[in-house]
Amino acid sequence: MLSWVRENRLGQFAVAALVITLAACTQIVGPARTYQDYERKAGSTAKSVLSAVQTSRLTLRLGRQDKSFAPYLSVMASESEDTGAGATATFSGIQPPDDRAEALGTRLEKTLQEASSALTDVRVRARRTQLGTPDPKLERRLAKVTRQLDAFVKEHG
Amino acid sequence: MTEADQPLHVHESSGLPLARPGDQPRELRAGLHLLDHQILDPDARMAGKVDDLELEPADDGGPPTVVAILSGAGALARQFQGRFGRWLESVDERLTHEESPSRIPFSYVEAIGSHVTVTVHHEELQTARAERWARDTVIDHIPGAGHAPH
Amino acid sequence: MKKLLGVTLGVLTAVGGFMDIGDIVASSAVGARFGMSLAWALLLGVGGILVYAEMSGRVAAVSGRPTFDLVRERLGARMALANLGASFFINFLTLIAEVAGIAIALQLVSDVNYLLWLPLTALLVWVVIWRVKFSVMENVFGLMGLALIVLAVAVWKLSPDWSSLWHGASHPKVVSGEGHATYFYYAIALFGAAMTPYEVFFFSSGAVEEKWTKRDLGENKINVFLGFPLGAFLSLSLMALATIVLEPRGISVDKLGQAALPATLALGKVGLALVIVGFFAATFGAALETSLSAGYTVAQFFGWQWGKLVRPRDAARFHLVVLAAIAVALMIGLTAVDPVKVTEYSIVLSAAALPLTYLPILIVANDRDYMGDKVNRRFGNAVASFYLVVIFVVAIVTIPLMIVTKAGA
Repeated sequence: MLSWVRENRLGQFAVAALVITLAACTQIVGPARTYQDYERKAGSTAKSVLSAVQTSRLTLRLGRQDKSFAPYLSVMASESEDTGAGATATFSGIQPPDDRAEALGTRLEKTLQEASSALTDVRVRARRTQLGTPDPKLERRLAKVTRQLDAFVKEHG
Repeated sequence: MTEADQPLHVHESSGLPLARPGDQPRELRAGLHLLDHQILDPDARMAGKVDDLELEPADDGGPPTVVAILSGAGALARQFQGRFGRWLESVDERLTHEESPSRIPFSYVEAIGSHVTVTVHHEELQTARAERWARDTVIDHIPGAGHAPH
Repeated sequence: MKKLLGVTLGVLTAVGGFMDIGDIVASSAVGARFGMSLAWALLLGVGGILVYAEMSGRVAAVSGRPTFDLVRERLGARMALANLGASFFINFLTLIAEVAGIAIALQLVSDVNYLLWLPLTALLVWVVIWRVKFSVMENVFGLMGLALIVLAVAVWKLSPDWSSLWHGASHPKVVSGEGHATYFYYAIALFGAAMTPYEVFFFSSGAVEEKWTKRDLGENKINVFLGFPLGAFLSLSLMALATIVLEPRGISVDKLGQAALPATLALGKVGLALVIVGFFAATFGAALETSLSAGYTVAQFFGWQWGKLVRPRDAARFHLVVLAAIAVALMIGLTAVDPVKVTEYSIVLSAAALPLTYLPILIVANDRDYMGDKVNRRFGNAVASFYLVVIFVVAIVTIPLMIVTKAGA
């Protein structure tokens, strides 16, 4: 098998196709060279995190209304946390190309941090199967982050 | 090697019963009616493809006659040029320890229809070696290999 | 009564065959992002699979020949090998995604990471193929798949603004903030998910395995003309649910579990349970179909004995290919590659490889030598030719679109 791959063009092609496809399935974000580029990346980060926060809010609501099973809520909450953390980490790795971009980045990072901590709190409550009891404070935090992200997406998305 | 769509006087030479009654004798085209078709044995078991044909030129310059069906990776390799063909051929030689593919004389061909039915049992064909290898080295070691699913 | 049963079972067969992780992900993701504005792409795809699945079933019933047999014979060994390479690769990607899909369905009810479920699900898929009869297999998973009708109930329960849903579907336009390229990229994803080639490989091979003859042509028609539209109806429901619940909130579907959110919101625990059962059945059924198709395509290319009617030891190479495909899919799945991404790639890439599979079916379905008086009628040929043009256009633009849109990012 191995020698076949090494000696054969078809084999090399097959392996290359598989590797490329699988590599494409793990997102890689390149550097930002201009403000516009950075802004676009910030917008799409906000979009992903907004999606995670909204999923988390829906999860919270399903738990409060006793509409779902604990394992499902727990999976949804921790996946939202992962999505939010992943997008935030990727964005933090992008170097802002100028001062204006840096200001934009700092503003978004603050919201992202609030989002991440709220997402973590939802996940912790879901793990402890505490979603049946309402947590108005947590819901308000999530609502606030949603408004901020939504505004950011509208402005820069 | 056969040219696709080359007319062949198969019927006259073999007294072959055709799949469609009331329509004989008909001219068969190697590329269309034989090459790349499924071979079935007398028990309707699948026994490889018609990967190549062995032809004998006619004395009078007319269409050639099919003498035998060739089947197996070695024969298939000849349909490919270049590296892949050579690779397939070498693998086949290594696995079968023989240079020739399964050769089924045309007198063993019973019917040509959707499939090419032959009177040789699939276990008697050269191509059965690879199947036996897969059976003996892997499949037979798994419990339940000898029972059809139910 | 027996006939009715045959029909019902046939419907189940086709439902199980149509709905899979590709359709679930594509319909939900598109609904959440584009609303109903891409419903036409789904309907277009269903029309295509309808026409070609009927043809492949008819050819299989009349001539006893499954689809990849036709591919080899009509395209010749070289082109057929190219098709084998492409189809096997795409089918394999789909298999990875389906096996992961089963594991994710189990994760949703257990909260145990799907990676831990993967080995068990791969083993289960293989055991079912090894030991369970074809008809039993299809009926069990088809019947379970019917749980997905809950999706339609959920749409109704949410009492949406029907006229705006209808308006969105009947007045397709690119939603704001999305480019035309991205819009058509997702149209291709929906089209590809509907027309995935493994459906005809499996359907036609299944017809041969169940020893269909001319007398079963009626059952073939009912299978196809009831089953696939039902599958499409469920996909549309999923799209509508995403449009109603996810799109306004700005939720994008990048996890399988999110596709179950709207139905849960509408119907609570019962809804969630049925959706997960349905997801499990649909992905399990499709995992069976794709792993069998791995064996079908290779065996039918080389002429090896294949199928589940004979003892495994009498179709040793076929079973070896199936076993190897499942084992390698498991290993790649265990690298934690994102199953939803793999799904998206597999359906889009399959759109690029469609012509090589569907052209031979159309040619043989018109060949009186094999089909006798069961050849295509003029209307059927007109529709099939139209689809062939669509398929060719799609195949040509897919890869460029994929590059331009960075795979729909």
